[in-house]
Amino acid sequence: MSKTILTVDDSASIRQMVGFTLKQSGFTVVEAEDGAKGLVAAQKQPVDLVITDLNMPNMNGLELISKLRELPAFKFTPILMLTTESDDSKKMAGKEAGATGWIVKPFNPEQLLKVISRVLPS
Amino acid sequence: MVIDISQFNETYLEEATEHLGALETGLLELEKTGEGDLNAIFRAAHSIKGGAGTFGFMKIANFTHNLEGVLDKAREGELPITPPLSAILLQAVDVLREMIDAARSGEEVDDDCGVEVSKELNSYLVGEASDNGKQEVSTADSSDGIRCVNISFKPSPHLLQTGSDPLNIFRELSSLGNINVTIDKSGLPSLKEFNPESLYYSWQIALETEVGLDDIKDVFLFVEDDADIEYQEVNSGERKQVEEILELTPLANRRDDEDRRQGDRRQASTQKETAPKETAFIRVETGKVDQLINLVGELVTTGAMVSQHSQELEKDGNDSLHKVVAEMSHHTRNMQEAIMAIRMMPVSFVFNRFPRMVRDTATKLGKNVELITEGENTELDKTVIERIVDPLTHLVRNSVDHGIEMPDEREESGKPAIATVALSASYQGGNVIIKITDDGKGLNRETILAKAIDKGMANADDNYSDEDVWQFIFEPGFSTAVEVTDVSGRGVGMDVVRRNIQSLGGTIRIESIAGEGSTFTISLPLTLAILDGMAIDLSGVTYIIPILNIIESTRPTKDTVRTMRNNLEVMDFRGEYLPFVRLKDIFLLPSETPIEQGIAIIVEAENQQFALFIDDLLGERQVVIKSIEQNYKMVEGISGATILGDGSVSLILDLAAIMRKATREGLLNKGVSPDKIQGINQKEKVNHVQQ
Repeated sequence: MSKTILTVDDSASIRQMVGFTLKQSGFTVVEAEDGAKGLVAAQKQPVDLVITDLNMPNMNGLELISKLRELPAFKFTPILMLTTESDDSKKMAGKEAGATGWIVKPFNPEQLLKVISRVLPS
Repeated sequence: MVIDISQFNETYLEEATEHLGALETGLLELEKTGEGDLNAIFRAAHSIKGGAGTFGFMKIANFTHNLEGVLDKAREGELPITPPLSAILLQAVDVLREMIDAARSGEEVDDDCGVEVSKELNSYLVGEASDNGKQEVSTADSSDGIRCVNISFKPSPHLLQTGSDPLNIFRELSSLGNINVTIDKSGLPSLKEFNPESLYYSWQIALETEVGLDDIKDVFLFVEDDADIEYQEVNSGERKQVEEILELTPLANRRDDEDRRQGDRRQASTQKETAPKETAFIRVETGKVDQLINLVGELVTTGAMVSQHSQELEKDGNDSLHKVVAEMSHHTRNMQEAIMAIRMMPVSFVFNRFPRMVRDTATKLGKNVELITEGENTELDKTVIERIVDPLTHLVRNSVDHGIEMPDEREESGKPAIATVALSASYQGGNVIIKITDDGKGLNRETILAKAIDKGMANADDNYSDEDVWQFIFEPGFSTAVEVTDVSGRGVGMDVVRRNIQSLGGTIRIESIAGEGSTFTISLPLTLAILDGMAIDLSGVTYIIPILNIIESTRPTKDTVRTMRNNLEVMDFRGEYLPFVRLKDIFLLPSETPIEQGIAIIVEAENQQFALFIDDLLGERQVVIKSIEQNYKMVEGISGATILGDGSVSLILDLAAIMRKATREGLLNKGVSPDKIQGINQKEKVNHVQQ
């Protein structure tokens, strides 16, 4: 059964690009456009990996990550955050909130899949 | 697999324009009232930059970098937005708008576009490193042969709770070379203190690899803050020890060394065969494959020409040339098949998504459904595979939603509580047949017919066969679900399903028995590049009709073709009247072939049968489809062209379009055929009996 990835990003183009890349690679994709919707979407079906943007309206990525980590189902689930090169402090804040790792923006599909393979065994 | 993301450029540019609007409004608001949501303003710039880099708009990304920096400082309260700064920020908005417009129209902006504004923005950032080029330069040591590294990895107890898993790290390391992992369990506490969610182990890893230390460290990137990691590189003098640890001989000699299988291996030793495996797949741009398909298509066509000429040359019984040419054609055909196979993908690519979907849909509806898939290895052209996903998804979802009954209902009618939906694929001639079968309640003839009459699609007085009734569900705007569920849509589906399948040159058929279930059978061509066609003659011109459309052909007589009151012709075909359309009327060609000397081909398009009258049949041909639209323009009634064996060009007929054209021009009355005519037919029969 294909693995399910939840992608949370307020940018439709990034969401579509990530969703397209993941679907092409055989993943099932659930999308949400902000943290609050992401938190709801996360509890509707089993999720194997969460990829979230940080800067979002209605609950930002950091808040989403810590809220997810409080849920029993997401205690050990890998969570990746999308961040920009210069955001070293964001990486630390993300790790503290419970993120597993990060994907540095800008990224291409290959880079995305590489980071995913690092935290989600095929 | 090459993933092309340029298709999202348009979405990005639209979005960027939106963000730009928000940015501008926010700045103006701030200027006017002295208050504004600096976070929202920053986020807008941030989003523009993030997407720009991802979608390859580097100028936009570079320019937005400084803008974002200034706004970041402003929202942190480190930089007040003074009127001069506000003016520069608004200038930056204008520059960005220009860049986005240029990107949309595919133009390049001038190199000095925005340079001034960017400089000014940068002046607000002084003191901060404007760190565009911060990327670490990979060290030079990455390619100097095999290195051996001992890694001590002591994760903190809470590592698992960040979603990290040491196994993933070992797996990734093992892809870099040979590794030997030794576990240290000494940190394990007594049972009383043991917390199952904590990690008490640490590991010693010996790695023999050709990659640089930076690449090794990169594997630990996500966990380096949650673990003590030490790397110790072993120089060549100490290599022996590492080899002993690994119990391996150096990579270079490994394959020759038979003894390496002997000796006791330590636990968890992952030995990765490093012999080059990359040759198993090559990534090729689809454009290159398509070009190859095109070229081999030309070759097949030219081959057919050579074959025809050689036959003419050697009419006197000497057939040596012809034999060689036949041999060559054979090879060319094989080559064509082999090249076509490059584009082929197993249907499992589509089927794999259904188990989850069926499970989720069934759970949502409180039903118990088992999905059986068969023939997943059946291969289809990549384009066909991609375009069949939506129709199949729709059909499978429909089966679960509308076809399968609720468990108690099933029990009452003596069916097993667990329902079955079967999805199968198989080859049949030049086609692939995909079947979706369910053991549900079947289509409801009465409901569908009542609805069709209600919607004015059917006539209450007419007799419809089951097959005819099922066709109504493919009509636009038809939906039998009494209540619209959130699982199956709002009756916008089945007509789209049929149209999508037809656009692939395929057909869809329904069989359904009340109480026993339904089967949807989709027939698809293996590829979109080659077509099995029937060559026909009309006024001395050769046309190709897709075999898929042809039911049979017959020679009409004056008795079987009749003119009705509205001047439309019908043909009596085995007791059933079909609209009789003369192709010459459609293409306005001067053919005077009398009825009894021509041929009527019974064809079916969009589930409508009619007789197409032509001069003669020339025989079956397998033709390579060339686009007319790409080389000339779209021509109604023509789906493409092909080059025949004698080098002449022949047009391929699009029967669905011809039917529409004929209906529009009053040459075929869709409304009164074939059912209405059937009605006439019965009345005539009655008259006959009375006489």
